[in-house]
Amino acid sequence: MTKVILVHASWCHVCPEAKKLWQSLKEVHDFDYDEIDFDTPEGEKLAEEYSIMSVPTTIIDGKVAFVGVPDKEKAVSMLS
Amino acid sequence: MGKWHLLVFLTRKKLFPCYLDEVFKVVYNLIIIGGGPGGLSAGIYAVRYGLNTLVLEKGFVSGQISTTGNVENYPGFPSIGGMELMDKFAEHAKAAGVVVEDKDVLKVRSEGDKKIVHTSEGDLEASSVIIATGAEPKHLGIPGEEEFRGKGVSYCATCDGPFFSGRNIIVVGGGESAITDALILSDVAASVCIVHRRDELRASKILQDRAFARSNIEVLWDTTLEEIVGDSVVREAVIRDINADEVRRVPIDGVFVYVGVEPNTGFVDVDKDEYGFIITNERMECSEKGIFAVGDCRDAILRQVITAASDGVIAAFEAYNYVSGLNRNEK
Repeated sequence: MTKVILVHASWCHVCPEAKKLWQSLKEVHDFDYDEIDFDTPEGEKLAEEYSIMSVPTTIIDGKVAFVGVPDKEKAVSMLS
Repeated sequence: MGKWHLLVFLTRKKLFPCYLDEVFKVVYNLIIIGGGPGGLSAGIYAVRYGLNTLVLEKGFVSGQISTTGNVENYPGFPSIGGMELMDKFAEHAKAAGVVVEDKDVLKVRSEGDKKIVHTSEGDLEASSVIIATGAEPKHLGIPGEEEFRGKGVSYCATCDGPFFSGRNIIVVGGGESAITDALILSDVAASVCIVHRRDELRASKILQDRAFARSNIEVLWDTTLEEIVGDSVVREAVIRDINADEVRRVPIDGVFVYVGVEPNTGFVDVDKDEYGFIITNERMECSEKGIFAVGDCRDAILRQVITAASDGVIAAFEAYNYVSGLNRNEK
């Protein structure tokens, strides 16, 4: 099953929009979904592992798929 | 039994056959494409004029202003976050009765007096259309820019600034956005170097004064960024001194780009300028009757929240006049 991880931060103004997008897609598509706050040990570990210097960043199946709020159509295409 | 009673009956019985779609098709007085400050202002006024109005918003981020940290030039709000201001627009529009739907518009075309709006979920019809699709930050198009996006290259200081705490940053551009974000970045970064291709900034004087007063902001005049170099993240910038025609490499941790915007207007066939901005008159009318354009997607001299909102109000008024004219002709 496709695994989607959204790395976000409390100080990021557009991160809630990325969350809304993935949460709405989760309602109609079947995929594993996690939201990880950058300011946590887990978030920092992911940031180091994937050289993340921007939020929101979406990791899909172990690869950085989107930097910024994803385009809905493109996000859907990554789930199929 | 009237057609609306029949519709309710069939819907309740789950007997709504697809061929009845045509019978019950709603023809909106006005469809507004885009839910930023221009689109929602138009929506609020259109609803108050009694127009049957629908706003279509593709993205989850409405309006470029959502990505701005602090807005200090919208009257009534001495200082307010961009997203917070946009939320207030949305709240106001909802309270006024503006209906917003999440649909991706693929094309807009005229068919006689009707406007057909093709969306990813089917066609919609309206008597008039307001284009309020805004614009996206323009990219430099230089080597390394796409490769290092999210790995040191950014277009949003409020989103990514904290990643550059104590680091050295380049800001490209000299306009309002560039200097606003240079100031935000200078609060966290060790140094901010503004690379600007001219010998003066276009930003407002108040922002220039603030920037010049910061000890960790430096401006490189008559300079362009040629290339961004790195490994897993940005390491160096290649910059050119235009006057001396000299190129040098500068160690750097991040590059923030503010070199203007590109309009989202590819889906509509009306007259545009060489950059794709829709050409309108002072009534926001386009080359096609019944289609109006507002905000950042039109050929405006200023692209601000307040000018987008003002455009929206004028366009709603003109759409009301246009639709009223159509209705009079039909009688």
